[in-house]
Amino acid sequence: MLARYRMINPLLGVYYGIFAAAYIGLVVLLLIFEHMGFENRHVIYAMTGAAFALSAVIALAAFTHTNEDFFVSGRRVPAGLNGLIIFVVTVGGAGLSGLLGAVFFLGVDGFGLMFGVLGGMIISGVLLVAFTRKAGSYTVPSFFEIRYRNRMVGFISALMLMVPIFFFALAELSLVKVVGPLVLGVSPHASLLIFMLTALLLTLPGGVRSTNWSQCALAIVVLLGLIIPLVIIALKYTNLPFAQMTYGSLIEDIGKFESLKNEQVASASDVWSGILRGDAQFLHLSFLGGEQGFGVFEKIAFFVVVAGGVAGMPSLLMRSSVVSNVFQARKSFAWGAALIGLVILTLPAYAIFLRYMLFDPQGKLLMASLPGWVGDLQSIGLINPQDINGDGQLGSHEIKLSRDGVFLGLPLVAGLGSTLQSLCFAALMAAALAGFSGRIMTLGQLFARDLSLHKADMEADIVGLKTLMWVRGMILLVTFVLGVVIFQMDLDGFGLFVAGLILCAGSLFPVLLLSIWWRGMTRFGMVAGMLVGFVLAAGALFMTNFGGHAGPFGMSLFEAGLLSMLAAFVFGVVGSLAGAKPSAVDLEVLNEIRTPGGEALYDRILRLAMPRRSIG
Amino acid sequence: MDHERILPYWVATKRLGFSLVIICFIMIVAGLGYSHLLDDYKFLGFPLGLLILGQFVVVLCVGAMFWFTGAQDRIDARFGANEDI
Repeated sequence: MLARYRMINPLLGVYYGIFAAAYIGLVVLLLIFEHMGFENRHVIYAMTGAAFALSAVIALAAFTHTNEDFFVSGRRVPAGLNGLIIFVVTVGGAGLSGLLGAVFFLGVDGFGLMFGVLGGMIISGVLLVAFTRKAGSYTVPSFFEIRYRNRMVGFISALMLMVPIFFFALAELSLVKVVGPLVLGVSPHASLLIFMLTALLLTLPGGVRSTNWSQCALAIVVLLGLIIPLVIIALKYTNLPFAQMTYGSLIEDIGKFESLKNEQVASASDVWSGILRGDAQFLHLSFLGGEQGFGVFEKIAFFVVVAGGVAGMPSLLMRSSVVSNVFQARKSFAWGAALIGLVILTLPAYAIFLRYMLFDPQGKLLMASLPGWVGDLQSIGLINPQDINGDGQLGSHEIKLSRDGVFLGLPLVAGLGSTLQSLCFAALMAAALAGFSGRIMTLGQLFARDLSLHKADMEADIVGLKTLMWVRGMILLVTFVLGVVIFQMDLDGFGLFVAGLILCAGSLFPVLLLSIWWRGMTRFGMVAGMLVGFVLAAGALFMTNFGGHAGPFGMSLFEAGLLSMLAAFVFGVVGSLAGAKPSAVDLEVLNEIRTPGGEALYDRILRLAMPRRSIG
Repeated sequence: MDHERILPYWVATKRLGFSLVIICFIMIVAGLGYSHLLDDYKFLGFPLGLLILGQFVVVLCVGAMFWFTGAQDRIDARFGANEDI
């Protein structure tokens, strides 16, 4: 039991408590400055700049030159803080903004997405991470390499996993490209450049160690930005600070304007396609759903595919490697699920309060006396009000709202002032930064370790100087490539996020589950399942134009995603049964992975490599 | 961990893990698919279906995750599988 807990800094909680207090102090200070006449733009710069700068300072302070610190943060991250990181890396900025947009526009029909994230967290925490932690590998392809004792298996899986991780990273950049200029008033390229340079500062000095500790700080910024404005608004409208528990009382009032909508009612599928494309759209659907909503099978397909995608998200799975043991890995994901649960409780409250405030409870806004927020949101391109029927009033069917505008719109519509608006904006950017830095770290490791020809040398390079230079170079390279792509192309952040989830659900999740839970799984079955799942998921994405229209046989994107998951399971099983049975050594390795106690397998590989190097 | 204890340990682990995942999935899927049938009833100011889906299911699933970490740790201890280096 002595070594059950590695040396964890007991003051970490205090440090992050101080960080949270300092950030809240900054909010109070800026509120005072705002009342003294400080310009709105300067408040936004101060708030966002503080979040970025403080996290960069933390990352720089976590500089390291050892392999174990750089790749797994010394395996010393406490479960609670790892849960914070798991939460922020899973959703990222694009996911957070898109999930809120989906719940706002689709109402209860959009809950399948949120529950998919929670379901993925449950699957990971219960069925996967204990075993990836015991394997101890630094990347998912390395896990397969250990499991099947074959280099090529890792190489092939790295090739396929590269694609969804690229999508996740591009999703964050797309969000910054769209939202950054609107709020900061700088060019898209300038906001992207600042964002990417900060992400490099968060990643290069100490690798996973730097990203870990800075992501904890960023997660605190996200939670504060999500909760504080909502608490104030809940106090204003319901006299209680717990918006998550009081928003139900507003649903009846919202129903009044929802019933006033004219004939321009679109189906949930059309609204969903608009959300994936990032189109500004009218509020068509009632929050509680109705005839235009999704069918039961579609809702379940949404849930299952997103759950599979989150459970198979490589950046998330590798969070299990940074904690001291298997028990802590499970506990981390319980904390991650708790924070995702908080988000699931919060986002509907956010959507309901915004629906309530966005439209007069009587259902109409007079064109002659529009409130100030209409002009404010219109000036930054987040809404587009048009008096379509010329009756001199704006109804819910006459205001087009941008998906990403939902997150930023609430404090504006509530008239909370520039400080609290900046708090929301900083939260969104912090989520995007945490997500992006996690993705480029994963991509850097993937390129440097799993797609590299010098892996054996790297494993023997215990001091790590050459290895770390090589990985840092790869992180720089992937960031440069991502930058080139995003500078050239206009992409939609949430669409890419969903595409990444579908690819992970189709390619990685089924074979990972089978690799752990089925003794008969072989390397041939694993590669067959992964290839088939990947090809079908990618095919579904292209044939539906990333969810823009119906796919083969009239299937929706998620139904096609579900099919790719099933196909990966079937081909994994059939491929394994068709080839040679797993050898006794393969089964021994699997037994080792399934037993939580004892040294992590990858640590053992490194330990055995060490004397060879020092003697040589 | 002794070789003869691996099989019973794995059976207990499998039973706990899959039971928990299946229970959570049934709750979520039933909530997503059919909770709207209860929306005509009100409880604590919420339509009952929304309250069950948006609040109770979430709290139950998260609570189940924390319970699982403890329960699995007890199984590990019972079979001597939890010693760490």
